[in-house]
Amino acid sequence: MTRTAFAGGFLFAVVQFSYYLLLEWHLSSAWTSYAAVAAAWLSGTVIGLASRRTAAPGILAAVNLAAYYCLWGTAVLFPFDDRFLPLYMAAIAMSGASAGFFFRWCFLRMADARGVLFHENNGFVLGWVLNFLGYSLYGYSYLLAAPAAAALLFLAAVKFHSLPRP
Amino acid sequence: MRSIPALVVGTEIVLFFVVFAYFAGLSAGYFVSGRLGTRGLRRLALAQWATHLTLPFSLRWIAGLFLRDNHYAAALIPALFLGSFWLCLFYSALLPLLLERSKEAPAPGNPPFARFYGAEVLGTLAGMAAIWFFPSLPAAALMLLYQCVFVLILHFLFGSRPILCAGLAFCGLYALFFNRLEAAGVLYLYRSRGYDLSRTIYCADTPYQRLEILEDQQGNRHIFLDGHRHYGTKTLSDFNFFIAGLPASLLEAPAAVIVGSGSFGAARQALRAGARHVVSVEIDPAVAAAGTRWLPGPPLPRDRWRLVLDDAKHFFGRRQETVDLIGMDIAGPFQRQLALLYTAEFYRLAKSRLTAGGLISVNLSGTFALQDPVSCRIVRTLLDVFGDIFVVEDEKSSGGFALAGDFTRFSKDDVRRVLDSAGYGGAAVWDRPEVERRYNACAGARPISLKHMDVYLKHRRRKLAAEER
Repeated sequence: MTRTAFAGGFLFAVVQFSYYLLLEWHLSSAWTSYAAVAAAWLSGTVIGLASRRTAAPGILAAVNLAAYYCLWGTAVLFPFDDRFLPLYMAAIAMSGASAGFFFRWCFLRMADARGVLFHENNGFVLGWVLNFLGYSLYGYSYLLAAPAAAALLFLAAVKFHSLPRP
Repeated sequence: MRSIPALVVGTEIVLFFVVFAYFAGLSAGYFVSGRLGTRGLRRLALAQWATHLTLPFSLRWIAGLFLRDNHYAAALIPALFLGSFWLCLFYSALLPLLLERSKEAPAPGNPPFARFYGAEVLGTLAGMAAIWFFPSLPAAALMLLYQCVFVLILHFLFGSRPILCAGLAFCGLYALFFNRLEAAGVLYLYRSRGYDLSRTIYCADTPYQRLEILEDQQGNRHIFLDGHRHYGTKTLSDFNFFIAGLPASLLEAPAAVIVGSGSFGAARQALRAGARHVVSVEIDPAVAAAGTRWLPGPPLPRDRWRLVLDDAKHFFGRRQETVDLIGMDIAGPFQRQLALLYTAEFYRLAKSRLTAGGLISVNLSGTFALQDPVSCRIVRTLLDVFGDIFVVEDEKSSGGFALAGDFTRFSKDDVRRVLDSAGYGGAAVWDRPEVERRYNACAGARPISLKHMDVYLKHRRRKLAAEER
């Protein structure tokens, strides 16, 4: 379960910072881009935490990827167009909500909430560091591939966790 | 955290370590929270409070002690620990321990931790909203608000009215002495870095950078952005000439856009050189306001100049009108946001907004003649995007500048003539064939683009410090 929390943190870091880097180029480097990402993500997380439902990790990963690549496609087609900011915030909020759902899913399965936060944060740190290096070295190509790769790693970690013990 | 990069000259690498220290502090807090009881948490809270009351001044004083001997790395470590890691550790230790103390029974399908964590996230949103919606609040007011909230946390932890009263009393003293301590700390820091300065005029933490304006013994004022000096010496006046005055002189009454404001020196140079209209594009309103209020210079003529508060990419992306001159009055590509303005993609966007024969002027952030790696990469990028390029290097400006465009209507001799008449007769001028020849010695420096953003990873602190003086 710790591995799952770690992989979840890793996925959320990669997606969250990739959102910011995408908007930084395709929309604006103004603080409003950072504010939009942060506010939308946190708001989505609150909604996910407040919901009485949970969702399977596969669905959470799919929602993240769908939201991310919708935003990516729109931003590429309509660069520097502020009219799409509400749409971008909705996409980011969906990803944030998936993080909220994920925390609920973890908290229900892992008695030690401190452990969930600790391992999730460690995964987040690793995802953020890799994002920094990956974007610096590979730039835009990294933003295209990294969220999908992170989602696959996340699903692999969850599947490994759920495999029956011999 | 906003103040930390400015302690040792803010670059992307320094920003990386600041944020890394923050997240590492969160993990450390989650880790130690399992080993702290109520008593341990209270002791941690009191130790944190003692630290909080010294911030942000203590960071500058400690950094200044190390910087006297040029120990930049040593100056950064205590700043990262005190200003980032140590503070975050407390907040992440708090939540799990509060949950343990909660008597709440878990409801089916609704773990109490989800509600506690959701409340914490809401608090984070509220704090961010306070900063975003009240950006003009003075730093003293924001820090006072923060200190008062911390005292409230102490009150909840100890349940003690005397602690609440003592805490609020200390907050009052903090508010009373904040401005004086801040000004003294900033002055001490820059004197430790070798600047001969006499007083602090103004400081602010903006969403983009740390802004400081200080004055020297002769009454000259200096702007520092994230610890880099952007105004205040003859070198920086020369910078404005090469970025704006020189290219404007080579064009006929150009319509110009100057990216970056500072003291608006570049805009003044362009107008003096005959520009018919200048638009200054500045992303940080605080820098524009500080430049207008605190730095000398006659007011800019409203019929020939206007200020637009915007990101340069967004400005050119939304704008359809073309201009004759784009002057990039910005720092070097040592932070990611600035590096984006040196990419081939940005130059192509800028080129699409230039008239035929229009120019972009760019600071090479180093000496191209000496194959400085960053200069070489900027030159390579410009060579790839533009048909014509001139590189000008003058020893007084401690770095090179490039004028690039397509179908330029002037020659190298014209550039030489303008430089001679402006008192820069010793400057070297190279046209495209000469630039390409010199580029061959650059060891294959590749262009800066969205695919290759590593220019800020390879920055050298010493070179930047040398440029400032």
